This record gives sequence, C-alpha cells and structure tokens, in this order.
Amino acid sequence: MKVEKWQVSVALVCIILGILIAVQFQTQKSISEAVPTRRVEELASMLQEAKAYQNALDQEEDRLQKQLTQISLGGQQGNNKVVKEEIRQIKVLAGLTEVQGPGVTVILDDSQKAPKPGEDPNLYIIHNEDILKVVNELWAAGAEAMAVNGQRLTATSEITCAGPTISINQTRLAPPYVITVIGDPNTLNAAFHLRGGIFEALSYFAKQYGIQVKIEKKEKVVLPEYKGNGIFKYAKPEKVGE
Amino acid sequence: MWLPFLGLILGLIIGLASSVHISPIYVNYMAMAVLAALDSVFGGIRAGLEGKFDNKIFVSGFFTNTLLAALLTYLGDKLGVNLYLAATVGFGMRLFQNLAIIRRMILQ
Repeated sequence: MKVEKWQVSVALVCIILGILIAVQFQTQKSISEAVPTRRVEELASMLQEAKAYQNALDQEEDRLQKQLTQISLGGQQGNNKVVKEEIRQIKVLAGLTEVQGPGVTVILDDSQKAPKPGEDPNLYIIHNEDILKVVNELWAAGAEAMAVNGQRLTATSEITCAGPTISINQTRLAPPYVITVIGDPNTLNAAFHLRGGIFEALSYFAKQYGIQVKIEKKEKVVLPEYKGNGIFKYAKPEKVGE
Repeated sequence: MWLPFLGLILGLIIGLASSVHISPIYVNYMAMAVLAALDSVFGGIRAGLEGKFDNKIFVSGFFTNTLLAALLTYLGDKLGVNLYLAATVGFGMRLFQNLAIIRRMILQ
C-alpha cells in the first residue's frame, strides 16, 4: 500500500484533532467532577457553622439557667419575695412562661379550591398581613397573650412572609394558622366580628375564594412560652435597675 | 487509509498523556475547533479519494474554518446569541455530506 501525499497532511491534522478531542474530553470530565465536590464542601461548611452556632446557644442557655437559679436562690435566702414576684410577672409579660386562661382560637386556612386559570393564586392563600391584622385587632381588644401555631408572640416577634410560609419568631409556619389568644372571650369575639373589621374583610375572601376563617370561644387555652433566647445584642439598659 | 487513523490515535494519546486542562470558559471554542478539524479531515479524505487533493487548500481551509468558528463563538458570546450554532450546523451538514461521498467512493 503506497502512502499518498494527501494522507500525510490528513494524518497531521488528525493528530491535532486527536489532541483537541482529548483535551476537550478531559476538561469536560473535570468540570462535571468539580461541581459536586464544591457543593459538598459548601454543605460541610454550612453544617459546621450550624453546629458552632448550636454550641454557642447551648452554652448561653447553661449560663442563663445558672444565673436564673442563682437569682431565685438568692431571693429565697434573702427572703426577698418581692424580687421573685417581680421576676414572675416580668416573665409572664415577656412571654417567657407558659400561661393559661380563657380566650379564643382563630383558625385561618388557605382555600381548598384551585385558582381558576388567569386568576391570581395569591387570592387563595392566607398572607402574613392577614395574620398581622387579626393579631393587631385582638391586641386592641384587650388580649393578654397570643401564640400562632405554638409560637408565642412577644415584643420582638415578627410576622413576615417567608416564601410559601409565614415566619414568626424566626420559625416557619405552614397553614392552617391557629391563633390562640388569652383574654375575655366575649370581648375578643365581638371585636373580631366588628362591622367593617377584620372578619368582614376576610369573609369576603372566604365567600369569593374559599379562604377559611373560624373563631371559637374557649374556657381554657394554654399558651407555650417563647422559645427564643431573647438576648439583646445591642440594646442595653441605660441604668442598671435595682 | 490507515495513516489518518494512526494520526488520530497518536493525537489522542498525546492529549491524554499531557493532561492539559483548559478553562471552562473556552470549552465552546474548543468544541468549535474540534468540529473544524473534523470537517477538514473528512474534506481532506474526500478530496484525496477524488484525486483532487491540494495541500494549500487543505491547510488554509483548516485554519480559516477554525478561525471563523472561533470568531463566531466570540461574537456570539458578546452579543448573547449562540452564534456558534451556525458553525455547528454548517460543519455538521458538511460532515455528513462528505461522509456520504466517501462511503460511496469506497463502496464503488
């Protein structure tokens, strides 16, 4: 078999082609391998951060528990009932203890109906604004303590939109939203049903889109304590009280 | 006919042994270069079998094709249009055409 001139040229280009293919192949391989490892590292560092944060919180809790027992012990030894009583009251006020009493529960839930084509699906779900309005109305009606899906509302509790869920006390809650309220059941019920009030606004959506709103008077409801650490990083008392 | 295959295998061995990596940004350019080279190889084999092979045309074709493909890719990158698809389609069609002609020649 004789070697023609053209075959030499083609062979030379073939060498280049081979190199190109090999390099391309290796590059693609390294790309497809590199991405998952980066992801793993990312996740590992996230896990480490979360663990460190948890450790810090655990230590904080220990410290506070010790402080608390010291304070209450000191109160007993010094027979200082006033301090103990004051701590108890402050804790109730701040939502740091479980409380129980008469009240109402308000249940808000998304619509069971599917949105019609072209309709805004936002009309069919409960938003953080709805909960905010209900909560505000009930505070105004003299509610003394409230919790939404087991999250006690405190002075710093937020009620924000968190994608498809609602975030309260940095915890994501999903519907149905059960707002448990302590206060005079009759007053709270009446305030909720006030003409032109929140119930009227919500029942329009209930009729139109199937959102569910319910209020029930209760003889006794139990509210859990606020579970956050409640430590202020920036706000410090102007003068340390006695 | 064995020489081009030998060249291809030799090139693959060189490329794999050197373990050269290029930046992922240039993967598209590389792909275009591979296509251009493939096109030139098939064009060259066809011309050789037809007895019309011209070294100048072959070599200049290889380089201009590669350059144009790279230029199109670059322009496409800047314009946000996948212009390298034009080169892909062009090279792809020519590849198949050349392959069909080579096949016919070998079979006849």
